[in-house]
Amino acid sequence: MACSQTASGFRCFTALRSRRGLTSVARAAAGPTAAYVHLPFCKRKCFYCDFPVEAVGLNTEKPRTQDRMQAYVDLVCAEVKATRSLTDAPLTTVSFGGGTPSLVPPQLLESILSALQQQFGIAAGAEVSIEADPGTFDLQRLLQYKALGVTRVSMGVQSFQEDLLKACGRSHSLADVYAAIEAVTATGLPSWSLDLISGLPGLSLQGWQHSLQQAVAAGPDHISVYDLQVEEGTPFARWFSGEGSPLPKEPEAVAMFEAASATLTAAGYEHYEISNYAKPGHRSKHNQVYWQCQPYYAFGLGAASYTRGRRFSRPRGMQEYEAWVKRFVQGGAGCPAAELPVESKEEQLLDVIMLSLRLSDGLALQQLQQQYGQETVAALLPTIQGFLQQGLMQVLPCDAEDVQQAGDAIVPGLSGSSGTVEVDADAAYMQLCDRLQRGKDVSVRLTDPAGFLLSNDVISELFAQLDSRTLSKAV
Amino acid sequence: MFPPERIRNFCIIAHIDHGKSTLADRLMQLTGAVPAGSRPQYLDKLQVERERGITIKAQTASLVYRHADGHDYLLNLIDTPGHVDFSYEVSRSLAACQGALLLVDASQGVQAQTVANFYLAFEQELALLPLLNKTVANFYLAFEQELALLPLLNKVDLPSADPAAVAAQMAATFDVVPSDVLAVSAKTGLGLRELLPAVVERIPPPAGQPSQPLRLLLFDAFHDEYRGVVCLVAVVDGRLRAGDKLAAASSGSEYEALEVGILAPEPHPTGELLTGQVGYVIPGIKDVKAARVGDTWHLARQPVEPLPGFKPIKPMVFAGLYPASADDYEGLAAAIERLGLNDASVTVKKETSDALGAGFRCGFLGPLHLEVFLTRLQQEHSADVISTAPTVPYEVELAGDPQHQQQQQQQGKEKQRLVLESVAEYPRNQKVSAIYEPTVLATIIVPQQYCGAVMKLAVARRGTQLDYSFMGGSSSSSSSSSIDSAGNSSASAAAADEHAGSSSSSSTQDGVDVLSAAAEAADTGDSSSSSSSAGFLASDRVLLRYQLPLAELAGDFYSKLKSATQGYASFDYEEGPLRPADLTLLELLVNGKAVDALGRLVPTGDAVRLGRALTARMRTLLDRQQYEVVIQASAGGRIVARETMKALRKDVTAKCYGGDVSRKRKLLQKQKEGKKRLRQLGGLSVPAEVFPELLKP
Repeated sequence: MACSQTASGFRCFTALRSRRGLTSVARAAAGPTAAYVHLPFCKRKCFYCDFPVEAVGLNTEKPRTQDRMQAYVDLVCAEVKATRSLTDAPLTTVSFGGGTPSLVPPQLLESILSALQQQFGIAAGAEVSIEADPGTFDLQRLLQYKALGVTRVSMGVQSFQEDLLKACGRSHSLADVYAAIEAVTATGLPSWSLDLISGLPGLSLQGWQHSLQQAVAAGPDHISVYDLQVEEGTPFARWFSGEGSPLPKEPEAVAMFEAASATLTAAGYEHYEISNYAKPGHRSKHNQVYWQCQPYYAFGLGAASYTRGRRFSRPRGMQEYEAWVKRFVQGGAGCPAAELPVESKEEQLLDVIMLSLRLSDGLALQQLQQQYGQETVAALLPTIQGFLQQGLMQVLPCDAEDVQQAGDAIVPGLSGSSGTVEVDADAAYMQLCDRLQRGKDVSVRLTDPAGFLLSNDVISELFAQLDSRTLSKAV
Repeated sequence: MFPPERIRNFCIIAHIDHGKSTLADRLMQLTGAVPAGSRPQYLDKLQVERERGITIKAQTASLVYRHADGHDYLLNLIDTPGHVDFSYEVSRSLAACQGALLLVDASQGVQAQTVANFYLAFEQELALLPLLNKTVANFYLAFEQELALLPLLNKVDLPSADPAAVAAQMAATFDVVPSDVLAVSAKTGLGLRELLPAVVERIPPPAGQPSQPLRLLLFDAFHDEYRGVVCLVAVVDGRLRAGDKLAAASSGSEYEALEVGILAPEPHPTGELLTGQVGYVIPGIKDVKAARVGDTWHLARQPVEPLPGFKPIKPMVFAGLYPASADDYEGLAAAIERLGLNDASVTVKKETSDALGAGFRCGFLGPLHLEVFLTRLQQEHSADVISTAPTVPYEVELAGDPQHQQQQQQQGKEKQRLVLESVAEYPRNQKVSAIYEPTVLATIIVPQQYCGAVMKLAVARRGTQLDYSFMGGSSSSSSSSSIDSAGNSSASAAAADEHAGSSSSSSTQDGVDVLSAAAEAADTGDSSSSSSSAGFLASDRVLLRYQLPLAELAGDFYSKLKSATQGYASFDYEEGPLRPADLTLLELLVNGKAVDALGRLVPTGDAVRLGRALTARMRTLLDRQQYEVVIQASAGGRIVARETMKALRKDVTAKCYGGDVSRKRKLLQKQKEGKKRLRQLGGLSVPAEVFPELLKP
């Protein structure tokens, strides 16, 4: 256990074992115990944003705006009430995302929560999280949320540089950020998260280090670090597509990703997902539902649900969504998009590979072999071996007791600092194959930061190994 | 049935877009063979034929026409392939005819294609119309007794038509009497009532012997999914009956005539075909390669003198064809086999490339044939295919070791020569003493004001000028200069020889002088050599003949010629002799390893420039890899260019997608599709899409 990443990866794996005991198919088949609710209102739309949002202006207290929110929440509640519960188990996570959910007055949030409670039940100790932007709440409002059962706030700080906040069209100032941190700390929630965006136009490595340090100093339990993606149709796409763009060049963007990983890991946060860091015990439960291919309800504009094996995104236009809810309520089926085909086993396999490899827990190959057959894993192994040699992947021991019994406590692929990566990689690969043969759990993960940085390339390369023949055998 | 004297076999000779198919449609409608308003370009059955407006496979239609003399005549219209690459097939189709309609667009005038097919008609001793009898004495007279030509001006209804000028041009080019030229419009039907009587009266009947043993000319064959190979035949002597046992003169193979009939234009079994008739026979064979175009067939055990002109297929352009996705080899193999069933002129061999994996080395009649084959693979067989750069059969002479050589000379042996079907076969460990490359004899007809531009292009493509002559337009004078017609046996060179000495052009015996003078005129915009600027027909047109390396045609020669002449040039070629060439092997190296699929022979003087261009293009086309990549070009073993691609270090989506998993999966699947189409070039992943770009000359 030479490095701290290894140690933390280990700890968190064992924490998750109970959930991972279920196969992904079984998880998808079980009824959902997670719900996402989309609240699309924002003061203004950020220049990089391509989410379904509705900008209402800086004065959110206007009667017209309040009426819009009321009408929308009524619509969402109607959708919730028309949705059939698929399990007796109550919800264990509820997530309000947006938009800027913290613009929605507490009494409206309450009506949604009570609709969910009534329809599905909400478990005691459930994670109820809400996204909140600085400048849209104060201590009083947070206390109201807390009283309603909110346990977690995710604060969209994005940057600790005033000029960058302006440059990306945020509606809050740096002063709002510090006030918001003070308020959220004073509220005493079980968990809170601070969100940052790297790669903003004009961002320097030095400026980024500053934001990281300020984020650590604010003492959140969880930090999300998103990397700016310039999406089609956004102002950023129009402004920054040509030559001479102020977006950081690749070497700087790489350095920023590395700096986040190093700084936050050193500060005691575990890099448990490509864009997420958590203090022990503070991972986002709701997001892990997504990443572990478990089912979830979703409600509201553009929201994506995964129930009864179907992935379905609601309409992104307000009028279209409204019409859809009306039809859904009238239809009385209680299960959205029942006419869609069930996600195929092939798609599930790709989801498992894609989502697992974004996690520090990695991809459990033995389970993959059980569910999708030896052919599938055999098709991936040569490529995995290559990534091990390149230092983009490493092998994780999957069961602490088993490892100790077998006497192979140190998996060479993990101790990348030894300088003989290739020898280590080959040894790790042999061990991996050996464990697969013996039917023992074994996982591979992307290395941090090199593997994470090339995750799209690595994952799509693995996809490419699964030709239609292999896939059809797997299914 | 029709006795030979009531049969006329004719074809239509025309440039690609001068309305040949429309005229054929009209003739079929006029005689009731197909209903009026049936689908246009009736005889062009392939999608690629309709799209590109060219005919690739010969088709025939038998039409019945009642003449003014009260008798019914059987008119067999043989629609011939319309492109230079298929001129062998054209020549075989013409061999089944006794007359030709020479169709020229009244607004565009005579094109090189028409001239070339016209010469072919002469070579076939095709009976052209007697009107040639009255023309001035020149070499055409030698053929006048046997050839019947019916000149037609099409599209005379168009406002841009200039029938008088074009008729004058035809007179100058083909020695026809302007008054014998019929003016028609295939589109409106104008003049067509006069055409059929002219066909009967001016084209002679076939001259075969009904009493002689059966002698068939096989002039085309295609594959029918349900009935196997269908052969198009002309009965030269004797009679063909269903059930006859037949034998091929070229191979001696025997077949049974399972079904015999005419094409009217749909197959219509008649049980027999008489002397002089044209029709089809189904011999019950699967492989169209057994039915060799140009072959003579006779009754089994009754051999006859084979008809002249049969040539085995000789591929002139080769290309490697590979599946775009490595796991689709079987699919491509099946598609090539199915398409090959219908195209006997393609040769196919298995080939393996380090860079592209398993594929096929295919031989084609010419660059367009290759292009058409690829288009048909994609359109008709949905094959996703990568083609390597086309190459021509270079001959490489090996120096050999001196002792061995001496021995050879003592034994009177020639030096060892290798014929390269692929540049990968270029000998690397032996000294090459000489390279010979195939050439073509190209005919280019162009309004005089574009002459300089054409000459410049031809020189840039290592062309040697053979001939430069005025074709006339409104002016009746024709002048010509023959510079070098050595090794050129074609009719046009002979014609030019006839005119040599009466030259009134500015040319000298030294082609370079002519060329530079004209090029200068073009450069300075000097139009004094052009008699008029009122329109191209008013100015003289020039016929240029060049010996050009075949390899230079396989690239963008056509499009360059088109842009240099605003589309006014017309172009045709025939096979030329081999000639020595100063060529160097240009290779692309990725991290020090040569990429076999990208090697090619280039002119030594251009190697450095081309090498630099290739590495630069490679760099801009490729995505970066996970490691540093060095791209180099080597010319004759010496590195002449280098580019470095830094390693890719970041490809991560660190964005909050929420629960929208399928969107993220779709993005990665898209990336995967790109990956699956990557081909390994020395360990470098290259998207299949960029291959055509890399392979451009």
